[in-house]
Amino acid sequence: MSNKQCAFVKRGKNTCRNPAIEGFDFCKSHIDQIDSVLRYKVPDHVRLESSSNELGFIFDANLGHVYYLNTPGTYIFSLMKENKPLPEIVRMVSKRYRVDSTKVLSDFRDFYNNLVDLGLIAKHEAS
Amino acid sequence: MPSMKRLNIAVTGLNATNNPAPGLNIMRSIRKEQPPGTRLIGLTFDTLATGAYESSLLDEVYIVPYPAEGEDALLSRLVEINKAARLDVIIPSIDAEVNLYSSLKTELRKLGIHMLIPDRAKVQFRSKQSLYDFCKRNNFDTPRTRIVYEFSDIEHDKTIGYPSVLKGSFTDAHKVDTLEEASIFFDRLTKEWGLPLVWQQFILGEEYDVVALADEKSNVIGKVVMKKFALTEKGKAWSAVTIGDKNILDMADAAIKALGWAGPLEVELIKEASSGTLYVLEINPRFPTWIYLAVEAGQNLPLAAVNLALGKKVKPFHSYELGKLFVRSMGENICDFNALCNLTVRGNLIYHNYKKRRNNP
Repeated sequence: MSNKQCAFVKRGKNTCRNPAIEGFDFCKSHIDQIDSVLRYKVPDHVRLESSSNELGFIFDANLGHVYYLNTPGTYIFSLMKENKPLPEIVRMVSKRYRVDSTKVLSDFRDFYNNLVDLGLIAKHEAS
Repeated sequence: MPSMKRLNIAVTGLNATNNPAPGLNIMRSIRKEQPPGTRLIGLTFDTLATGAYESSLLDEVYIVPYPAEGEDALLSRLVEINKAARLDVIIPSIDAEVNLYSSLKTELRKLGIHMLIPDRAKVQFRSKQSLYDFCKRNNFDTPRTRIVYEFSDIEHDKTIGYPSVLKGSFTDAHKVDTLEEASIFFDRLTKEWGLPLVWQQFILGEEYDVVALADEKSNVIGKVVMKKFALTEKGKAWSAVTIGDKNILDMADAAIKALGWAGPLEVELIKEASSGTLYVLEINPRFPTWIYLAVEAGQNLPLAAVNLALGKKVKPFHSYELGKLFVRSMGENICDFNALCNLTVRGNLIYHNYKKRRNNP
């Protein structure tokens, strides 16, 4: 956790005093705010191929690049391919791997940034 | 039984060894959606061209002269073959033959034989020897290149350096890291393919190919891009996947426009790992050997070429399936020894499949 306070605002007032999650402006209780910070779209030419052992790879059919994913990466990207809202993805990953949602969220940020850098998702950040 | 007009399509390039020619896959493409009454005829200058014994695909095979024997010898033999087989369309698929067939376009048309092929001058523009100048004139990036007429051209050159690639005039290429290696491959390539050779800067990166087909007015009818996944020691694709890289698709359009091309064209490219720059390695005046991948991805370009050659209207292809993979494998054909004897002694091989197919389509 950072020293920063949650910036969640309701009716024009900042009523939440919880510490914000590392790298974000909101706390665990207001994790739904992620949808207003990070948005994404998986382009049609980016495909996820998963295997029976829960590993998978992403195939960029425009450039012909292949990226291997570990089990959580495959699971998360499969949810992204279904256009699931990010708060729901965080909740599902947290439940499946029994990891605190704040940890999921900070790890997800790195994964998200990698996907953006590699052109595998279209970044759509809220202003 | 209603009578059926035969469509006799001849294809060259039947060799199918570790550096396979495109002929068999062109025929396989046509077979996939062939019009009724199609008869496929192989033309080869080598009795041991392995594809000539592919009896499940071919109806007939005829021996033609080696390209080095020139246009007159080829024309004279094609007149003979035409009397026996009544050819409607020829698809030449070996670089060394395209020049000859291009020169014979008018004579063959008089015999009733159609081809979708550009003028000889246009074929020359994209030859290995002219490619560097063509690319520079048309703003395509291409590796630094020098045409080598004798070994001293390599010894005294200060422009290409090492590592580099030494190429035969029509096919074959070797990476060379030292002057000593250059000497070995200079001798080997000269003996096999003659002079001049092409000496090219080596570019490290991933290789791509695009096949395109243009009509007589250089309108693009179809194009498919693939990325090579596995290469043989000769640098030939043994596995590849269709992709949709727009830069490469645009490059195919630009090449066809710049050349004023008609017919099939393959552009071989490499994307430099360090800069991402796309370099044109070769432009080939024919379908590539991997053409069946394009067909399975949704563009039957060989069949479109046949229809265009016959003067039929063909709707352009606008898309294809991405992520289609081909993996090449080797096979063996078992046939009677008299197949080889017939081809060697009589200069032809008739499989009589046509009759069987006609009765049991």
